[in-house]
Amino acid sequence: MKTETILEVQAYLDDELASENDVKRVANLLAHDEEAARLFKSLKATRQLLEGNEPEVKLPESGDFYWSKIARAIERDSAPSKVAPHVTPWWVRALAPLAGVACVGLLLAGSGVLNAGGKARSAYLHEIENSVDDSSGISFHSQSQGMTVVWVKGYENP
Amino acid sequence: MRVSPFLSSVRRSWPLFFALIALGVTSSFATDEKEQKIQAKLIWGTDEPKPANPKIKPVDPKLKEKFSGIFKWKNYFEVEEKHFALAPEALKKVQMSTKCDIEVRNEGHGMFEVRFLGEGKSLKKVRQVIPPGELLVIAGDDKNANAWFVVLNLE
Repeated sequence: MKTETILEVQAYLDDELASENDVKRVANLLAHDEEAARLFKSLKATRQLLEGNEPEVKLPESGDFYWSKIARAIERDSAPSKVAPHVTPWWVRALAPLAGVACVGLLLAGSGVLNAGGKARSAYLHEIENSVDDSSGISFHSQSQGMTVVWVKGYENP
Repeated sequence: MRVSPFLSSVRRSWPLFFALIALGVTSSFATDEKEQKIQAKLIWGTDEPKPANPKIKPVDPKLKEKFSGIFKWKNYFEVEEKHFALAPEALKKVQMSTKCDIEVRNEGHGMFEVRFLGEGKSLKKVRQVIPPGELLVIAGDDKNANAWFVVLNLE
């Protein structure tokens, strides 16, 4: 069977033939051509099968409304951001480094006070270790004479 | 947003400002970390007159006045005098006599560890800040009611 004949049979089934003469001609063919009749029967059975079992998807809303929502979403995503940029006031930017300097100054001042206190305390307090068991002694600090004395007992003749 | 010329110049000066602070901090630490010169003396306190040994001399009047304000002896004689320098964390052993030595460690920031050794034995260890102009004295009784003193001070 020719391809043209097959296409004509399909068009006849879909009622898409251009003229009445073509319809009559194809109908006559189906009546006398057994092979064409089998093809027609097969195509018709397939179409009936698809019509009864093809799933139908229904939109929850009208088609226009559904597609307009998608269009608006695309426009919204592609539009440039209109959020105003965060601008730090000039005085914050000017004072921010000063805050760092103040922290450094406080740190230095604090360490200076601590060191000064430590030295003041250490002038009067000292650590003494007797390295020999039988060696003992006393110690004192004379502020008036500016002198710390550690007295070692039990050792003569240096 | 345009920044005024004044603010712009202020911003440009920040690196210089921080550099000056860093320089000051560094130099202050560097000052603390310099080598320290120390004077150590072995002194003999007694009520007896000056011995014949020409190497033994009376202490200077200022030190004698300080000692007389605290101790009971009439005379104080200088037996030995040593000068040495200590870098931070450095340790030095200094012989003050044939029988006694001191080991001095500069711990930095004015703190010193002084160990007194008699005949090679460690008898006393003292950790003490020695402020400029003040004395650290390690002392003990000597024969015949006399006394010995090891005096350390910064130079």
